[in-house]
Amino acid sequence: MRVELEFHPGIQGRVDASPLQPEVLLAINGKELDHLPLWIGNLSYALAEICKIQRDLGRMDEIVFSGDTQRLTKVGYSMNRGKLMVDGDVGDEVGVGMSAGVIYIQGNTGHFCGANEHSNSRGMQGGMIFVNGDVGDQVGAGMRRGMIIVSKNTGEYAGARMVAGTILCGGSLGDRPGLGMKRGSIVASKVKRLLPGFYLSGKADEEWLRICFAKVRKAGMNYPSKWDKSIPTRFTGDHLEMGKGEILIYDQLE
Amino acid sequence: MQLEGVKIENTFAEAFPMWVSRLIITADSPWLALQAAEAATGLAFSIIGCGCEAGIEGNIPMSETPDGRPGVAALLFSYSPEKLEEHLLLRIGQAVLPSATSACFNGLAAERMAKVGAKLRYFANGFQSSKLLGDKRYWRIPVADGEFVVEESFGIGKGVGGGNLIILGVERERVLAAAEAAGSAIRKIRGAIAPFPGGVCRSPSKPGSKYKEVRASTNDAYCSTLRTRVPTQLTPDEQCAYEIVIDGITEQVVRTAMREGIKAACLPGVSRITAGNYGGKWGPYHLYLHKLLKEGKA
Repeated sequence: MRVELEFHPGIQGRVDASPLQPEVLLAINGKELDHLPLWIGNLSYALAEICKIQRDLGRMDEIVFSGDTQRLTKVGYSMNRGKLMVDGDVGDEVGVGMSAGVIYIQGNTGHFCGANEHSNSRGMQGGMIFVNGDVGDQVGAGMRRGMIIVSKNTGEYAGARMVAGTILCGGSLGDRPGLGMKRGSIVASKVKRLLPGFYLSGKADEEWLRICFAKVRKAGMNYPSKWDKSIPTRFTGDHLEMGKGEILIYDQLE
Repeated sequence: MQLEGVKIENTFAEAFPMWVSRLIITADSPWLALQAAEAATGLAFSIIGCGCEAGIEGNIPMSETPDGRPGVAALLFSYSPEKLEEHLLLRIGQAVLPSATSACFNGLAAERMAKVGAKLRYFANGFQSSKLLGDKRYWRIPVADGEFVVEESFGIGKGVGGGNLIILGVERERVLAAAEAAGSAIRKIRGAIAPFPGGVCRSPSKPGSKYKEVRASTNDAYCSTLRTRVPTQLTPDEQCAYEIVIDGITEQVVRTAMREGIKAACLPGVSRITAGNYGGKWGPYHLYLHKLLKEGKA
C-alpha cells in the first residue's frame, strides 16, 4: 500500500512527525489515519487537518511526504521497516532511533540526522538514509549500524561518538567530524578540518568500499562517480577513544 | 542405443546426496581471481581421500560480483555440513586469503549457514573489523596489500554427488580426447562440476579393499591389464576407460551435465559409454543414461 501525505503550506511551528512511522501508517484504516493526532508545538491536530491524505492499496508498501515538509521533525522516528520518501526539505532528527528500512529525502535535512535521541546514546541502529542535499550538525551521532548517504555537505561533528556504521558524504564534511568515534567509517570528498585525534594512515584502496558502493547503486542512490576511479586517503581515529574508526577523504584537505 | 555410432549402455549412474557451498572469489584481475579459485579447489577430487570435492563453476561478470571486480565461482561438496564447514575454513583461510587482492563471498542462499568469516577473522589478531552492509556482515582482515574481505557466513545447501560416465574405447589418445570433450561440455553447465583434473579420472575406484585400512581400491573390472585375472567389464577390443565424475547443486543439473557430457564424448574411437553403479543400493538418485538422453530431445 502507498500512503501519500501532502502537507498544507504555511504550517507554523515544528511538526512532530514521530507518529508517522510506516508500520503505523500501513496498518491503520483510513478513518484512523484521518484522526491520527500530531503535535505542532504544544497543540495537537488531527492528521487530516494539516495534510491531504491519499491511500493507494494496489502498490508496494511505501510512504511519501510532500508539500510543505520543511517543518517536519523526527521523520522516520524508530522506523523498523519499509520505505519512506520525502519530496522536499525536512527538519531535525530524521531517522532517530531507526533500526531498518530506507528513508529518501529529496532535499536538505536539519541537525541530528540518524543520530541518538537526547535521552540516550544510541544512534541509528540499521537501515539506510539517503539525503539528496545538505544535512545539519551531528549527522550519525552515536550511530551503531546502517548507512547514511549525503549527496552534498554535512554540518559540524558528523559521526560524533559513532560506534559503528557508515556515513558517505558526496561533498564536504563540516568541522570536527568523528569526534569521539570508536569504530565506523566516514567517507567524504572533502573535509574542512580534522581533530588531532585522527592520524594519517595513507592511501587505502579498501575492498569494502566497492561492496558498499555496489549496494548504494543497487538501492538507486548516488555517490560521486570519481570515487570509483580514485583511492581515498585514510585517517584513523578518534585515538582519544578506541581509534578503530576511519575517515576516508577522496580529495585533499580543504 | 547408439549415438553418433557410439553404444550407450542401458544402465544408470548411482548418485547420492551431498552438501554444497558456492564461493564467489574476486580479485583485481580475472587471472588473479582464477588463481585464487584454483588454489581453493585444489586437491579436492574424491570425497574418499580428500574429504571434499571441489571445482570451478565458471566466471562471474563484474556486474554480478558483490564488489564489482572480476570473479570466479567455485563449488565445494562434502558428505556432511560439518565436514564442508571444515573445508570452507581451510580452503578460504589457506588458499583464498593469501592470494593477492582476493576477496571471498557466499554465493549460495541456503537455510543452513556456516560461520566462516566469523572464524577466519581471528587471523587478524585483534585488528579485525567488520562492516554490516544491508543484511550481510563482512569481515575485514588486514593483510600486507590492504584488506582481505570475507563474508561472515556461507550457505550450506543440499546437492547431488556421484553422477558419472565411463567412456571406453580402443586407443587411449582417442578415448582421452572424448573424455576431455565431455569435461569441457560439463564445465559449461552452471551448477555442475567435474572435480577431477580436466574433469577426467583414469582411476575409477570401488569401495573396500583386501587391506583393512584402505577404504577404496582400483576398480579392477575396468583395468585392461587385469582382464585375464579378474571378471572384466571390458570387451576384448577395449583397452582404455576414463571416468567423468559429476557433482551438481541439484539432480536436474547433474542430469543435464551427464547428457551434455555424453553428447560431447560421442567421437570416433569411442566404443561405448556406460556409468557406474552399485546395484542401486547405495544412492537414491538413479540417473539412467537412455532416459536422460531422451529428456534432452523432449
